[in-house]
Amino acid sequence: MMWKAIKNLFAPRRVKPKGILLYASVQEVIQAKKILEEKKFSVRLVAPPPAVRLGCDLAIEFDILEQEALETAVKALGRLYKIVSTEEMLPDILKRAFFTELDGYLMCRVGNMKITIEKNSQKIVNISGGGCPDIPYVAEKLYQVKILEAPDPTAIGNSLCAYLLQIAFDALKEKVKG
Amino acid sequence: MIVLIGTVPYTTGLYRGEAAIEGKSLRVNNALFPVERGSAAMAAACAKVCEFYGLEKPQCIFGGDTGDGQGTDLMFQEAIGKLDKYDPTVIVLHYLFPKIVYGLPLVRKIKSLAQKPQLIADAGGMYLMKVVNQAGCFDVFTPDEGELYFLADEFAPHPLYVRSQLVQEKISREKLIERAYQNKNTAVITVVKGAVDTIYQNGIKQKDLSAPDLAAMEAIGGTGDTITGMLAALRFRGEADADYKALHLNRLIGKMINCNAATQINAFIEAIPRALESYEKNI
Repeated sequence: MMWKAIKNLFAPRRVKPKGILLYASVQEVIQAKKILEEKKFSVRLVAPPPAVRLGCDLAIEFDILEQEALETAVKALGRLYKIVSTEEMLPDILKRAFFTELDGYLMCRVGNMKITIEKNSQKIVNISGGGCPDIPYVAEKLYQVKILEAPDPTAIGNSLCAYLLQIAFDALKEKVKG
Repeated sequence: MIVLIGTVPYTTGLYRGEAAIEGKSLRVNNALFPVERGSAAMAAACAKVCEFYGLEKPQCIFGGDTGDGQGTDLMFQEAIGKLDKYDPTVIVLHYLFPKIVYGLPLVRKIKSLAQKPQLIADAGGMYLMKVVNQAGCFDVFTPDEGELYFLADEFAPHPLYVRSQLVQEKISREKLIERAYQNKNTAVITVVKGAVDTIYQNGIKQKDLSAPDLAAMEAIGGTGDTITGMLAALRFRGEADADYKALHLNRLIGKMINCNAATQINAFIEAIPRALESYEKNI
């Protein structure tokens, strides 16, 4: 018991992953932070890590849960920026796609997102899973569209769920192409 | 009163009012929403059950949001500012952009109500409450199997970031549940939806349901939403076994309509009264 407590005390602590928004000037950082706060994003000013420093010593840290919507907001401002991408942080295992045959239909699952096509027509018949607001919208736009002709989910949606769906969508597309 | 809080993927705005079924759509005040999936499907399922039993219609606080988060802002501002005016006895937190800044103020508002309502969270609402460490305040979470990994990973801020080692180790559902409860990252009751639906209370398995076995239901977008909506209405009715009944009804509907992987969720919602009739006759 004692040994376990000591071991826990010295075990490396895992830090919650954060995203960093980088600008070329401090002024832009401060302006962007103000705007993002007005839009109710959880952001704070931090020193950028040396590896991703762009010449300014201030950056905006944000919770990666909010990354996709934050990117949309920043792009709408028309400002230059760089973000440490979610893709770099994505655990490889979640890029693994699982396929299930369902009586003439093929479902692909990645994480909590599922996309299903009818095998003969290759049309998308269902999208399931996810909890972000854009998923019902993305699903509506992709319904009954042939997967090889369909727009990318991330071209329609902005959320992390849309990003996961994109991975499933790409895997299913590859499978269809053979 | 049941209060349903969520977003619908349409024009930015705040949509408040009673949830009423109109043909194949959901009416909230002057707005009509197709019940294809998400919070509209959840609200439609809830409204159908309320209608069947002659219960008061659920009230919606919906934000129109296609992913930029603006509708979510309006929805939270309404809920945080005026929730007491709705006099809620059951609250569902559903599809929404999980903006951390609103998590604690919403919980504080709920705690300030004269009477504690039953609290149910699914989808983005569940993600948010886990991330702001308020899962334990909720009575029910309704994750699917992918989301259970997220609840079990104390560091994951979203299902996208579940640690690879959790998935690689192929940890059993029981172990995942144990971790979720240990870390206080799930509600008092966790209803896990999947090939086998399981209800846990404080980490202890209560019930399993695997029949009828309908593999296609996993592919159908919205089958989790109908469970959440029905469960809320049945809890509002005061049913002792509301969670199990909602799971059972969903499978019963799937069988009744002979669903396949291309079935759309509005077919499930339309069949709710028939399934309830059949259920009530056979108990």
